[in-house]
Amino acid sequence: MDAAAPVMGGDAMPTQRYEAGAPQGFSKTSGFMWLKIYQNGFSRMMSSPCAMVPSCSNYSLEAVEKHGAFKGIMLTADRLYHEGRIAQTAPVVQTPTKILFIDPVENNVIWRQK
Amino acid sequence: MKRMVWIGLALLMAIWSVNGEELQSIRNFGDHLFMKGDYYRAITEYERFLFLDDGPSAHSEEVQYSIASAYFWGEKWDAAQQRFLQLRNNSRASLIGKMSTLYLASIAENQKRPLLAADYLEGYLDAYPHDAWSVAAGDQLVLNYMKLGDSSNAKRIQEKTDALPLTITAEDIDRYFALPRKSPLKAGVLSAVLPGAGQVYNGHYSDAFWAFALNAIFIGGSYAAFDNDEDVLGVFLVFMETTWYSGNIYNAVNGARQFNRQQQERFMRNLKIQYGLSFPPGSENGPMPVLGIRSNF
Repeated sequence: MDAAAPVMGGDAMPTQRYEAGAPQGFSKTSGFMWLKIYQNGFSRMMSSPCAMVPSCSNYSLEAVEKHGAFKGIMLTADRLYHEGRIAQTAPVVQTPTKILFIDPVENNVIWRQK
Repeated sequence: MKRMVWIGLALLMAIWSVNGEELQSIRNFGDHLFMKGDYYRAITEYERFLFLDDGPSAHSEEVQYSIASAYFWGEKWDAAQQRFLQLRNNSRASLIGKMSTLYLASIAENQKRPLLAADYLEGYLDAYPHDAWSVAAGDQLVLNYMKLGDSSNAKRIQEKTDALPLTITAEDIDRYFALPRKSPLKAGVLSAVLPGAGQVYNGHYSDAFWAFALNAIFIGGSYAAFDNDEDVLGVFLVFMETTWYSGNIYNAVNGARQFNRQQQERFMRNLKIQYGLSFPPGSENGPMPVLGIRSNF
């Protein structure tokens, strides 16, 4: 739809962190732990090099939460491989400081979704 | 006594007129907010109109339509669907009822339910083959079947003789199904044999470089670790390599899918620009709160 951006309220800002629910299972929990360490540690030391929405770590959290550890890791690896290329074709969103490229998890899921 | 009755009637008329004017300005303000894209507040104004309106009337149905449209343009698909279903069931053959069916088809498409969208459009064309919106509905149905990869149904609708001639031609359908495609299976198998090969097949060379380089580094690292009796490091690197390797296959399959999707979307976009297609009909001028049938108070 080529309409102007809809104003309905309640929509999250594109750069916000993904608020994952409480993970269940060993692999999911450990995956979440590493990603949280990355987000709260390394990621804060760097000047946010990820130009995608959601950012790679948020994408990974969302992928693992929605699709489980195995599929989530594959989706994350796929994102890291295609990150440079997708920026040429992905839709963009303008923030006050930079331009970000939109690449949600659902766009890269190849199996039938519920 | 007679004078009192006349005065009473005049007072009632005055109250009714003020109420009518007030209602009209509420609705006008709702339309104003709608046109500004402030759908949430527009809905509030329309709801206020319905609350103050005396009872069900032609106006209230139009305002219900405006509410449904506001939900649609605000991309609240479930709420829009509920409202348009109600409007369609109230008066299926009226202009609002017909347009509601077309909006329902558009909502189904936005909800990624193309078969449901096709059902709505098939039903519309069967019921109204010579309607003012039949061509738009037919074109949209052909596009829908093209997206579904169903060439026989796309051609069936295009050739339907009882409907008006469609804008999309049989050649357009043939050209669409002759677009270059990449096989996701082939891409996946190639990348399983040699990391990066499937990506080269897809024409995604930067992905291919990273897939080959990362897998080579981690396979090499694992080999070196085990060779130097660094078993713990070796196991860790093998684990990491497994994720890069499976991600490489997934990336090749997804890349082929994305290639096909981009080709199809580009073709559809050009077709819409070439013929000036828009759906629901009239949406080429942007969101509209009314159907062009608005009656005055």
